[in-house]
Amino acid sequence: MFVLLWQLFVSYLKIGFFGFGGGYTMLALIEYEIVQVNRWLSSAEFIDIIAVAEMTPGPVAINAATFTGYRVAGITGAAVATLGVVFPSLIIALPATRLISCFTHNPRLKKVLAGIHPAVIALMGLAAVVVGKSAIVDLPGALFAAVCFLLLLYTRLHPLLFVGAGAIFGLVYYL
Amino acid sequence: MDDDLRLEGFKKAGPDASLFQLFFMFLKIGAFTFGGGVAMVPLLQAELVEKKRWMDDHKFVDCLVLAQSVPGPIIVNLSVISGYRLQGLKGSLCSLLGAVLPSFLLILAVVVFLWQYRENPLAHGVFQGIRPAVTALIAASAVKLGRAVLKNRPSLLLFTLFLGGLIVFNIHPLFVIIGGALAGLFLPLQQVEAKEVKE
Repeated sequence: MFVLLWQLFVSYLKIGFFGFGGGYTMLALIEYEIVQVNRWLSSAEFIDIIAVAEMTPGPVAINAATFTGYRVAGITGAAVATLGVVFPSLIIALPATRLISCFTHNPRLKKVLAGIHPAVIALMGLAAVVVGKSAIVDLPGALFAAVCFLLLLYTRLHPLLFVGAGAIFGLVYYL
Repeated sequence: MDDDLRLEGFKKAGPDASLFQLFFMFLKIGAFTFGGGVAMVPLLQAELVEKKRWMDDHKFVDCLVLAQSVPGPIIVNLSVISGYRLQGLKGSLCSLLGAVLPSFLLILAVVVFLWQYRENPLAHGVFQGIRPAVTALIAASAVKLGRAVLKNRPSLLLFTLFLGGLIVFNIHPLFVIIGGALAGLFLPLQQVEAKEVKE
């Protein structure tokens, strides 16, 4: 049990440490660590957690950590995984706050961040591909995803509307 | 101990932030912002700068830039950073707890009480319909962010290399982040403005 909790903590610690860009970027890391390496969740469960995370307030990384932790080791697991994912913020952001002026105006840090940005976008792209592979199973699903995608790019509709539309689409078509 | 941190401009007007107030403010923001990260920035700005007047706009932007520069969810980083600047380590822990608690408890409730019904045909259909929408949400925000960030040829090239490596060779996501940081030091990617929400 202790070993399992430790593995859970370390996995989410890694996800937190390299989760530049937050949210959707962290999904690629979570998928790799939790679904591919440790097999704590199936890919369908993983996508459904993202769906639940869209419907509930709060960052998706916290939601995923709490969820995985609970599935693996109950309430203790949920607490341990959540602690793991926020811990890097504490040990990186706190010292950085003390040196806030050096950090926000440091040219070398700006360079590093300019290099991390393309990596973050690539990870978001990967998350879309990985999720898409198991989320889109037939032509109507693909068409529905394409319509949502275009509407999201060219209108300012709220993301929650698309989750709602997806639910209706599911009831009409998959039931 | 943290007197050196309470720089001018931080508490222009209004009373000191108490630990409970910090906790409660982040609890509120954590409980009512859907769509995660960026959606809560204007809310926090309204509370922290306009309503409570615990810091001015300029300092808020400083915190925001820092929160986006370090790894982790932005609301978590912002709670740690602004809590620390207002009330030191204790303030930072109280703010963090407030920010995380709502989603922690809500997800626990969902897993404990609702997840067992996921296989029921009704819920099954609903989830199957939501999945393509979730894919679209992720893809669209990748494209939107990409349009803002990948503005010169080296960054575009780097992005293509990374995405190809991730999809074709299944390389570990950590290598992409580390590779990006190293490339940033040695390649001319700098025309890209670090995304700043304000100013």
